[in-house]
Amino acid sequence: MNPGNDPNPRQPTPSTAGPVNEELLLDWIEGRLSPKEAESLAKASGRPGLAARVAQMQADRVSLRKLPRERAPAVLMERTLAALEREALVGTLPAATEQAATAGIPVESYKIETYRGNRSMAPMRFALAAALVLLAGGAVYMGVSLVKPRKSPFASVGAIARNSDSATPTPGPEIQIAAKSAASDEAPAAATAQIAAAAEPEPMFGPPASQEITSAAHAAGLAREGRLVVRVVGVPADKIARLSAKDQSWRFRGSAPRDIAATLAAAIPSHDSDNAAGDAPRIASRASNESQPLPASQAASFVGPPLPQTPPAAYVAEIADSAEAISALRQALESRFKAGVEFGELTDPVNMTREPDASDVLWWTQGPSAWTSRLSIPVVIEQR
Amino acid sequence: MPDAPTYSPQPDEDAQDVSIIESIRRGESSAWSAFIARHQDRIFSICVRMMHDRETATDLAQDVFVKLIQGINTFDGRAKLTTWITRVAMNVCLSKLRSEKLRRHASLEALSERRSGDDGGDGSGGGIELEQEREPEQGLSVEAHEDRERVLAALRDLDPEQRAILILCDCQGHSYEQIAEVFGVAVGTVKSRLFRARAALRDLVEKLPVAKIQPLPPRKAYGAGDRK
Repeated sequence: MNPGNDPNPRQPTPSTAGPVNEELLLDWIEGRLSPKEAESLAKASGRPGLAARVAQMQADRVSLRKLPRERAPAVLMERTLAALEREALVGTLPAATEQAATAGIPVESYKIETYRGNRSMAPMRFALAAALVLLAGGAVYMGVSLVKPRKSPFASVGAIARNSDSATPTPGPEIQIAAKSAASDEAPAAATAQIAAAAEPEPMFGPPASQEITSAAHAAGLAREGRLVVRVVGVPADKIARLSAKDQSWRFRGSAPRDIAATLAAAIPSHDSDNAAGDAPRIASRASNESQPLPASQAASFVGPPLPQTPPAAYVAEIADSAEAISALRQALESRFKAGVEFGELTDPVNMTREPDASDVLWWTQGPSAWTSRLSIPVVIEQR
Repeated sequence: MPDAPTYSPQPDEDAQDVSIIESIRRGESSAWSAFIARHQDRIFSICVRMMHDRETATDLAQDVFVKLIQGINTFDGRAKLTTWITRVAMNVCLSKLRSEKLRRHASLEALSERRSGDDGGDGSGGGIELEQEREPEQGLSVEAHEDRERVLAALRDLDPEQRAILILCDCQGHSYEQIAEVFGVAVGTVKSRLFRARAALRDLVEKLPVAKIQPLPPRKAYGAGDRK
């Protein structure tokens, strides 16, 4: 090695005969010891293989120092300048260097628009106006909702329960509200019922004339009192148990309770009862699945054509408290099953109380059309 | 004994460096290019020796320049500019190696697998071919070439800190004082570490099986903009 080019010239050491340390060994490896000094150091170390190992380390050093010089690729300059410009625009470079990054860029292309009075207030004003409109809309909606309150299905269940408690049903507050609502809808409902009546070949359950069900509104009133019964002829009973309207205005909730079925069996005359006068009326209920004799005292009067011999099944339909819902139910049964649907009036109300289920608790999870009070109507299915 | 490549700037080069730095501080964008042009080979060389991958080294060298420009105001001139640049470059490389847990992971088995995987490839993906990619130099015997390959292979497996001190001393030709300044330690510590690094390198060279050191086929050009 040329001593003149050694960046680490050997510092004067007291003696190479001293204890062997890393500094002396490094000097030996890097060729800063004379052969005589190296020989004496090898002897002092007491390791016979030290000289050979140092020679190998010297060879390693030579190999490293002879490595060719690496040159940077041309892309390094381009990438670095681009990265510096990005950093300058982001603002991570010192202030003075930012000027260098943006020196060749037109001012308009990167100048940040600052606050300039009314112009920057426009979006804020627009947002404020939108908020006011939303508030006003919400207030109107709340006002309309207060004027025309709607009841949840819980109210319907409670109302039906009240009807069953008293011998002479008196509509509760919920039913009164519903009656008002139905009365307000009476005009269109009456028109619908008139059209339906014109299409019907036979009138609904017959006399007495004072109790004749002449309109859907009338049927709705009877339903609120618990005295409406729907008679359907020609519908397979198994297809109707879970039928429901798409808009949830009506739906079937399964078989009627046993006592309801018994009451209906007593109320609706059958051919058997016509042929064997004095016998207790019978009805085959899905709930009981057996024929049950009923005491004559529980039998309510029913006016209408006699039922065929096929034992009917009793189901419960829940409908929205409106004449439209009753009309919709009727039209759906008629159009879907080509069935004959007749409304009948019970002299005494039936107790349609049932246990609340999940749909009653979670009524608010349904669509807005389901946010209304419900009426439970017994439906007697009669196969041809 | 051939001399090691040294990058110690001359006094007039120091003056040029100072002028460039002042220009950068004044916001002259042209000074960036001058600054990069003057130091890119040194920085890239450090990165490529540390990482053994040209693409990674290019990315790291770019990061080094960004950090240098970002911290240009912190350079107070007390240390040599080359020392400051080397310190930043080495810190970037060591941070990268720590983050990627490359330390001691480049085992000989992986080396062999990567070499076999590169057969027929373009040779531009990994850094293992960094030295093997070259044809034996003119005047360099096959035995000397193989010795150099073994040393480079051992250098890859060396602890990054020991690798760094060997690169600075032997490849970059820095003095002990400069190395001490780069790492912020005493000169005596540098000597001690350097000796241990040489001993560790020798141990690794001796552990390398001769059969596994095979030259790779010539690699394609690094890129369209690769300088010749």
